[in-house]
Amino acid sequence: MGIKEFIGWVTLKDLRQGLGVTLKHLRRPVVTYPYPKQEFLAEERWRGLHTLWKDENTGLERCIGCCLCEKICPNWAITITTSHADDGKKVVDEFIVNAGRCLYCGFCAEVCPVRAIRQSTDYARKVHKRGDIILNKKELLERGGQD
Amino acid sequence: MPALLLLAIKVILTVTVVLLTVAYCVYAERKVIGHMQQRPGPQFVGWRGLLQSPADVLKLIIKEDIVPTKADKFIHFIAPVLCLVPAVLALAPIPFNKSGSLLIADINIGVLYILAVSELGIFGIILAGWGSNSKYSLMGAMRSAAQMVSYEVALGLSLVGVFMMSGSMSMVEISKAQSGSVWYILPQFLGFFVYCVAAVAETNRTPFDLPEAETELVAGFHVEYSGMKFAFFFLAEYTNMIVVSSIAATCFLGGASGWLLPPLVWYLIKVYAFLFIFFWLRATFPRYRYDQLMEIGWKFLIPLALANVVITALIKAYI
Ligand code: SF4
Ligand code: SF4
Repeated sequence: MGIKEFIGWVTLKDLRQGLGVTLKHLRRPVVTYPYPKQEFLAEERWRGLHTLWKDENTGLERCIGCCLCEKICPNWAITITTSHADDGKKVVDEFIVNAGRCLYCGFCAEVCPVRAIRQSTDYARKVHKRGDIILNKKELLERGGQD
Repeated sequence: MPALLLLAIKVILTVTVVLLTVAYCVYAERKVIGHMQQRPGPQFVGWRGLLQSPADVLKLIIKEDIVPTKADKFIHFIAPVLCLVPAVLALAPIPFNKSGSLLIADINIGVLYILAVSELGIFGIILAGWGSNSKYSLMGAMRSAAQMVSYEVALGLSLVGVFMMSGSMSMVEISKAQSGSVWYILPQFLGFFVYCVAAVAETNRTPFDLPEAETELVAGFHVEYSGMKFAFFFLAEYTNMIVVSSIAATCFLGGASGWLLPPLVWYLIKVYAFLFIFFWLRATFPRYRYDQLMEIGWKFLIPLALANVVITALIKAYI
């Protein structure tokens, strides 16, 4: 122990520093939100609840039913049912995102080749019944838009 | 008879004021610690959360009182009372103003009485741990007993210097002795330092809150208590804080003396400053390990306190 450290030890340097830090923070403004009273506005890049998008020219769904998002989802939160139409094209019959299982990692939005599934800034899925937490295709399309 | 009536009024007044202070101490603590962590603290009940304390009290009163099946019913019942009563008793010789007219009892061994009586509260803690018939409670109670025994020595010794300088153990005499000369915090700074550390340990507050270490013992000795019985432990802890703060204000900070403002206000300012330090410490420090706690007590504080006694005696004798 050098002379400097010894003096620091005798005068309780580390304890004094700690007390100084808390005193400094006492004067700083509050950073938390009183949540239900003041709505928290998420940043644009926020990874929130999912949306399905439509093509702005044709008005058709962008999703091509490749099921990549279903595959990559680490929590198996996405379930897609597809079938083939008469002309041989793939149709997405049902697209379910279980928001209760989702961990909002954003993999599904990242992997989608046609940017059909995206994440919105909506972070709160407030429902009364547990089953209602599941988002189906209709609701996902309503939440999304066209571009 | 009027003397007795006056005494009764004084007792009721003191206890009411102290219990109200305790209720708002909890509020102040949550606010101070909250702001130190950059969050607002209680803010929904009443204006800026000012009614949070009455709401908490009401909640504790109407809460169900649970007694564990295997607990010793009588001991489980008596422990919170044994904890609170000594804490309130210790308020008797505290002089809130200079003349001592707001004093319940001017005992000539005032400080000694406070130390002795508040130490009785440890029985409550040990019985609570024992009577609950739970491992966590018992561990908390054992730690508490060990801690109290170690730190009581340092606490007592740190005040001996003050007794030597003032030549008295009465709270009123000690504060009078300081009004003529300097406050004892200057000549007795070593004693003051030891007193502060030992007082925090005595009241089982962070960083010495081993008896109720939430992270390891759940809540320590009061883990099996709920409702009003739990509130008694809470009250006892905060009343003890006020008592040790009052001793510090009287013995080291000149009691009720000060400029301009009335003595009572000065006294309360000093006591509240001490309480603020308690909150500040709680917001800053993590808990000490058990062996570190014992080491600080026996290897640092007691030798320091003894050195302070010797130095004070030498100065008293030769200067
Ligand atoms: S965000 Fe992650 S967890 Fe949620 S649905 Fe997409 S891939 Fe699955
Ligand atoms: S949302 Fe994208 S990734 Fe998922 S099935 Fe449709 S096109 Fe494929």
